[in-house]
Amino acid sequence: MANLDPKKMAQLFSAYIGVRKIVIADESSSSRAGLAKTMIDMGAKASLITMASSYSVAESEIARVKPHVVICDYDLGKAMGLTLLQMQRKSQADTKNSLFVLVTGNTSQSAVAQAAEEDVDTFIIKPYTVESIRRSIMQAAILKVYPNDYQKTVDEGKKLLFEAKPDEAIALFDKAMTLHPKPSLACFYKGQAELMKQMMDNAQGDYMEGLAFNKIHYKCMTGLYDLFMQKQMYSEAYDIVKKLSRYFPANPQRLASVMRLAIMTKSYEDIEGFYRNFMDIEARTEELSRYVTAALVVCGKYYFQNDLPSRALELMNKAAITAAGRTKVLREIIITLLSFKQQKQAQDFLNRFPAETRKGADFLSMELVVLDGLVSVSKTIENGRRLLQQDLHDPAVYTVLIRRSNEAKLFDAAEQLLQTAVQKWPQQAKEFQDAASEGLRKSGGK
Amino acid sequence: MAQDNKTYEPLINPDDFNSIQTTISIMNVTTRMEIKPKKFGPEEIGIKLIEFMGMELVFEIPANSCAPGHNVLIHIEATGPDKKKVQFNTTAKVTELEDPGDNRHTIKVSLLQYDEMSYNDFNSLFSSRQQEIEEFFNGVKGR
Repeated sequence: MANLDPKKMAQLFSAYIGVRKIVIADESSSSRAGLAKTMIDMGAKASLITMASSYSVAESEIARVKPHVVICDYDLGKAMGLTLLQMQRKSQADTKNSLFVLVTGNTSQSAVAQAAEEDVDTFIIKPYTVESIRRSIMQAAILKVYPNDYQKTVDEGKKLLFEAKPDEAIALFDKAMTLHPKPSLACFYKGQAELMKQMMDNAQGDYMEGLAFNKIHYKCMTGLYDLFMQKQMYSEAYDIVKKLSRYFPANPQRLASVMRLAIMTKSYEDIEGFYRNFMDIEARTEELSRYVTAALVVCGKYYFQNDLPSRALELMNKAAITAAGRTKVLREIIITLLSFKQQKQAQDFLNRFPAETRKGADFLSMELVVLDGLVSVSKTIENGRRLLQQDLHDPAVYTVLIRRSNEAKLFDAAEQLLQTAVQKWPQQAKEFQDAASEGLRKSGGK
Repeated sequence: MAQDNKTYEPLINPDDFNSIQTTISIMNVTTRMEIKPKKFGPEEIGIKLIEFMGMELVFEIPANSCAPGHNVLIHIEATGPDKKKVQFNTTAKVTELEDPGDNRHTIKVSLLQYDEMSYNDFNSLFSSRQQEIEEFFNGVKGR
């Protein structure tokens, strides 16, 4: 493509775009009109251009028109324009000849990285110049529609891979590597071919070679991560996934993987560092918050297990703050604290339930659990039964009632509760059985 | 950020979540009225810079704020993700006006008097960011 002169490129693009259906999605009518004019100047047919002023209009137009080209803003009201990409892929079978272009005032690296990760074809920021739009869209189209020798060779190799012919595919990828100064994509697919032959060390070498050419090559990074996880090389996987998170920061699922691997590799100090990082972000999403909060609680449990209660409590406190009143998190914290005999601290966290949540199941069940042991056995049973009568069926309530009923020698009631609890939550059967046994021990047995 | 014995590398760079922030004010010198965001029903239409066209700029503004031939005084302040500020002031003339609907007008203004260095700094804040984005995309995809 580098050898194509600008006039030739413009001709090829005009031939491409002249027969393509286009949807332009932007809340600003000025932007829509400007983009449409630019596309028409580049050879698009006005009759093949559909405008969408909102996400919902764009959704229905994409389903109706099945456009080859979608040009949209990253932010479409409350929705993300990026989600239209999947819609376009579903509606347009001919993905090799289709384009998805973001034209947006959102210039953040997180938006850019997310778009690249989702395989958007190009990303243009506003305010733009007509030249930048022309160049960007043309380049993206030409690369896709008129691939160069390198890309053609890689594509032929990919076909052989799908036909389960890895040796022939590898030969093509080796050839492709001579056709590009930084052939990371060929390295990636060669790695995939080696994996097909179960040659994991070779695959690892290929991915790393790809990253040596280009340290942010997404496919090589994710390929290497998956390989390390398969080989249970968790330290190495952790290093790669942290790198992925740095280059592609807006992916909450990846953040969850980072947190999980931090715990698996016992890098607990990192979790505290990630939390500090996270607090510096002004636009924290709900999803990011959830993953960070969950990791803090797990980290706190680790510190309790290793006899570092003050550090654990500090993290539980941070988790509660980050949770911003989310009752499931407070519940998890309280259960953890009680399991480590932190009665007073559990009570403190009970007081952190927001007022408007105190009639809810999480608060009422935790209230029972926290007060259990502070009030008489009969009072606990009375409180617990009242909750069941109010139709509050919570495993924590059943656990307390099973234990206390046996302790109070109400064996039939305890047995009934145990059966009901195991039926409702079979995965917690052992917990309920343990509670029953503990109650029996305290009662002196049947 | 506190450092532990091993070198801690930040997982996320908070600057990655920041966009270039632009504050634009336009004074219609001809009518002696400031062009301000206007509410049309539930929607507020503000001032947005849409396009650079050499010595011309294209803005989206609330409808009926100015007309072709009007002189305007434009002040733009842009802040990059690294908090670096760039300011640009110019007098300009409205050369074209389009009504794309939705209570908005698109105006093209021709720059009259401005500081060239400030304009270049302002322009390159966006052009260099576009360049960075294209390089990032090429790197990620291995183009």
